[in-house]
Amino acid sequence: MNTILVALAIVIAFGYFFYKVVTLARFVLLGKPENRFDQIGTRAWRMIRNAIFQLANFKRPKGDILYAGIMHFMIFWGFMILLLGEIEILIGGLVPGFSFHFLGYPLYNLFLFSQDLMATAVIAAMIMSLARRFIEHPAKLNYHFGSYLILGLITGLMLTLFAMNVSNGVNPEEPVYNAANWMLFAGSYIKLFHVTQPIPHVAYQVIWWVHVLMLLFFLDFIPNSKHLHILGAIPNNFFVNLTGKSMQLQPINFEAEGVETFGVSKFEELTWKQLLDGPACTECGRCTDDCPAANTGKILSPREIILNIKENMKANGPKFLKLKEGEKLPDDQRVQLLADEAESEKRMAARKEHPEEHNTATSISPQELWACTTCGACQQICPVYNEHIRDIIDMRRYLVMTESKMPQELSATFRNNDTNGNPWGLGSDARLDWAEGLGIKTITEQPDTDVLYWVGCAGAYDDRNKKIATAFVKIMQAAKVKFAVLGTEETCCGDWVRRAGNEYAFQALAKQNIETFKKYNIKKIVTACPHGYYTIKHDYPEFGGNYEVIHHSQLIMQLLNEGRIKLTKPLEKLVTYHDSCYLGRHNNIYAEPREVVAAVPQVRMAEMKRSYDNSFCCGAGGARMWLEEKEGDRINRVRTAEALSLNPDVIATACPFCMTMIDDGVKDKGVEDNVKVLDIAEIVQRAM
Amino acid sequence: MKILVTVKRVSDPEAKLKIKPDGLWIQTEGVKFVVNPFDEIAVEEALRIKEKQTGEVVVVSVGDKVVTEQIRAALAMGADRGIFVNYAGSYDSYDIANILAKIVEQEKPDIIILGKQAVDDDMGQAGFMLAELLGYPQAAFASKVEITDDKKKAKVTREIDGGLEVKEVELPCIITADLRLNTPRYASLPNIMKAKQKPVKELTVESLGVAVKPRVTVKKLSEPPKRKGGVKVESVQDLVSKLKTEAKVI
Repeated sequence: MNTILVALAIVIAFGYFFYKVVTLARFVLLGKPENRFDQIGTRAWRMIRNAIFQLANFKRPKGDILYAGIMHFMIFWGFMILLLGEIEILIGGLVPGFSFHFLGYPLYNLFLFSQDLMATAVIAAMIMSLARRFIEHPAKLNYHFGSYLILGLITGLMLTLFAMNVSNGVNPEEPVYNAANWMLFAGSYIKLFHVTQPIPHVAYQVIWWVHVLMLLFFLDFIPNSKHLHILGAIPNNFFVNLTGKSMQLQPINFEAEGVETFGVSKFEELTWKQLLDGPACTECGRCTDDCPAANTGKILSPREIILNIKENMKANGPKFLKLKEGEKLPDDQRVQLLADEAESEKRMAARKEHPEEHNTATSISPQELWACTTCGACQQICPVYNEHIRDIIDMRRYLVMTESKMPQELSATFRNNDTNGNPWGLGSDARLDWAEGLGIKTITEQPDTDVLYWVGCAGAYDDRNKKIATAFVKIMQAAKVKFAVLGTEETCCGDWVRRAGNEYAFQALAKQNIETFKKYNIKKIVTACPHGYYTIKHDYPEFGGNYEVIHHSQLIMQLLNEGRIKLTKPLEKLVTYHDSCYLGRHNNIYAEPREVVAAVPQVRMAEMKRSYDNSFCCGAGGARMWLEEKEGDRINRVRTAEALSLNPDVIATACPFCMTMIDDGVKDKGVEDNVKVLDIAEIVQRAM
Repeated sequence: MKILVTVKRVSDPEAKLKIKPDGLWIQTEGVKFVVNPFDEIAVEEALRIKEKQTGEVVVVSVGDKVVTEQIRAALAMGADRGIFVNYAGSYDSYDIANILAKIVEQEKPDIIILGKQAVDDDMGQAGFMLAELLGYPQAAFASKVEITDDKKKAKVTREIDGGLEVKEVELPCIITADLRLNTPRYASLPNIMKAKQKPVKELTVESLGVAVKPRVTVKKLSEPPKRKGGVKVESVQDLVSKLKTEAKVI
């Protein structure tokens, strides 16, 4: 009778579990194709390193992340090893008297040892976890019922297991493998409390059933909860983005026939990998915790972008699976992924009052999408390597290209750029005006140049950034670098255009610039703009443009190393360097800008609390430079305040957008007489 | 509701312009041409009215073949069809008003919206003249346009010195668009593609029965004087004496 019940419970629980998992997998496969099957060896190693060795949980091993990482390590490995014990328990339910005894000494003893140790470790992790939730109470966590249910279930599983271990340890009917001595914790319990009698048979049966039912319930709860990450995260680590390019956007071919919409407004327009990000999400909230928009009171939460896509997929998926071959789901029968204005307003209001309800929403509002600075903080810290930014850009593409729905200041900036090739909308024929009197050559005047200096729109048109371009030119001239500029043949690189979702305009710009580079046989490009750097280096190869691109911090570093420039004038000042997201997180250039500044005699340097890969955005990336910031605090003020807390004399930047934002921040605080915002090139040039 | 909108091809306001050797017009080589910004605002307003009321937006432009680029730009924003009046010679505001009056007779629109002026020659007269020729009521320099519920009148807010004036005009009427009326939309990609298929009717001034006879002709263009750099004065006395002797303002 018992055997039949056990068999029935197992069949029902596993049947439901596999049904749910297969259904979810079918939803994910509704997504568009994407090749993430190259470099199998690297992928396998990444999966082993990050998932099996759990290194993904220790990306920034400090404070709460370190604590949670240790806790997660104990639970992960606890469950991996306890799984063996659970197999023994389940088979034992089907075949009375079954056990791994046949392994004999010492294997079975080691087995007993591991099970006892791991059960204890998981209990310890549960205590750590509850302490974290109730005492530390990090704002980034979700505090919904499911989380507590899971903790309760795991604790229950471990306590029942422990009880059975204790009982087995003193049960004369169990073959004597000196169990009590091998089980470190259950054995100690036996000795400490002088346990001599096993639990009576009926009570043991009850405990066994409670344990098994909890186990099976847990199994079935996995696909319905954040614990789905148990199934999603490991493959997600395998299918990780290995391109070395942080924003791997969907290619769009505008010449394709019969395409009427561009970008993503429906879940199935995302790739299967983008859809897999949802099931992989652990809801740990680290992305949102580091997000500059979320941190300054904007409606955007990168975690919710991922989760809302998942919820939308789950809401629409069943309808898709019912469709017959060749049938399409009518638009009015689907749950929309992009919220309309009324829905967005409702969400904005609701979010403020009940932030926890946000993550079960099935739609995303345009305000969330426009709040993103594409700084990459979310992706940097995500333990399952989700790629938030490209989801956001894909949806922006739909809003901009298909619907032409965007903040009106952005449409004005697009028009400026379309006409004059720069977002300021200043005359394209004025692009070289900044260089008057500097004696620099255009590429037509000096075709056999060693390096092309890509000035960028900011360097060419923005008064503050023109000074940086001038300083950099003087450095190159002093070092006798053979360089040239494109002059009026340079146009917008397309960075912000692409991040804003205007792929059509971006591709036109990219192709135009690639043509120009080709015309002058350009191989090497230096720029002071990390946005141009990223775009030319990582985006242009998609359109056949491959160049050696270096940032001015790298060139200056090289000139210093080669002794071609000498810094002699001391700067007795305290300098703090603000990492540009596009230089740092998106391109891993952290050392050069710092070393360049540190090369100035007598300079003192201090790091902000958030620096290197944990740096806090200035607020201007992802086309935010051209958008008004109405909601919450201004990101640049928050960042400037952080810099000012060090009482610096100089805040150093290495990006024209950061310059504008931090400079504005300093002026906002009214401290511009005491604190200077300088580009690293200006600092170097003044010290020469 | 049928709305007629005019668009003029003008040199990009940001372009550095050079005057032709004959001094009569600008050099057009290498200069980008755009839709007159006030006309873009007019197109946007027409589209917004259409979206609320249903109807048709017709854009019209006068000039040689290249002005069809500007008609297509307006069609890409969402206008339904275009009228291209092929005329390569010179003209003045009164000629344009005459041509437009003929088109209005053919098309019989409920509302005609023009930009308040073109940013190239800044004449700003065509709207007024057209209203006079047609005998239509007009509301110039609109910063807000509302169509009454009975669709018989337009309530137009105008920016005047020191305040706002609200006027009600009976349809059909002439409205000219001021800067703050709206922010023109950025054409969506499907609309850019559709614009290529939208009909553009080509007319000639002869077929409209208009004899173009400019009464205003350009005699000479000259560049604005170069701005001289400022000077720093040493003292208040210095400043006062310079204001008296050099600037002659006190």
